[in-house]
Amino acid sequence: MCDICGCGESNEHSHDHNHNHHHDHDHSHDEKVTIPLGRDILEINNRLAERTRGYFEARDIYALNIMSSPGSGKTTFLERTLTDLKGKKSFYVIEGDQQTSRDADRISTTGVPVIQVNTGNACHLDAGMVNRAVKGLNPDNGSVLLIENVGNLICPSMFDLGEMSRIVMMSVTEGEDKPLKYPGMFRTSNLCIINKTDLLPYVNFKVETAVENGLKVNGRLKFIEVSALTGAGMEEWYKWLLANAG
Amino acid sequence: MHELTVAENIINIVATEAGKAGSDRVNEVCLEIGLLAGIEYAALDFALEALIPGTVMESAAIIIEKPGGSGKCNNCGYEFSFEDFMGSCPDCGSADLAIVRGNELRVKSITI
Repeated sequence: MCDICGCGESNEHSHDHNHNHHHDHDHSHDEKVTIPLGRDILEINNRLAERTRGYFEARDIYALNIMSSPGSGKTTFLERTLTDLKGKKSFYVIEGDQQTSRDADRISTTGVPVIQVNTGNACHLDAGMVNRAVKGLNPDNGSVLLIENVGNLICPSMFDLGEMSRIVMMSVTEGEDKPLKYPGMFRTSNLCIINKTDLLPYVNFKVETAVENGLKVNGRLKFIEVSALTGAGMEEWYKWLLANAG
Repeated sequence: MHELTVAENIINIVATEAGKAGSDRVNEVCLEIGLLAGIEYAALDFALEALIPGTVMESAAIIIEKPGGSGKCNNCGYEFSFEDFMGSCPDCGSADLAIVRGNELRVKSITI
């Protein structure tokens, strides 16, 4: 048997002549080695998110990750919030969009410091983008950071940004079954804002059904109904925000 | 299409670990991606196929283990099979459930 690999080919043989020759045989000795890893595929994102969260905790900054499908009214909701709560708390905003600075331009008219992050081909913000933006904003101790994610109900839910809480927004023009269709997003959120309630008389949207569906995928989800346009219901959201931001 | 990011991360992890082991070629990559991990397997296959050429995974066989979901009721502690984020505890009816298994998203092993 081969001493090296145990392949069964002998390099010794008996013979009845008397001469010297080498007894090598030629073959490769490929040995496959399996290396157990168990490495989290999103570990780079998750580690960075934890670092950012640690920074927020040390400086008593309350960071919110706000997600929805495109057109639910996130930016209008933020504009009204920042205008109404001016002077009550120090705010900062990170705007995530694939392209343009349109949302950041809108937010900057409220006077609140804002950074636009363009994700290019990515359909979500990730922890690296937010970490860089936070360094650029350098938020005050005790402030609130509102992160408006890219409008998308699937991908952003996978990426921890270092936030303390997640808000998912749905609007009454979208259908009550959004939580059932996009359970990953609703499952990982703490608060669901139901926006555009001023349109309820004109659409076939039942708030109770939407809430029921939301609770089917996340029994701990809280709901607040608002119209960011008219301001109806916003007081309840402000109470939630200020209570959580401490 | 977060599967593209996931595929990039897989290739980076495999390249780093193969490099540590002194190899520039990997024979097999075993992934563990649970049914509740939020990954569309076909989209991941597509992303891997697009990104792998020219990397250490070029000739690697890819095995994906797909652990099924199980949940635990936060109210009564009952554990049960949980396949699609929906539903309530079969024992007490609570909708307050935690995922125990099925959200794995890992590079389990490589063979070089």
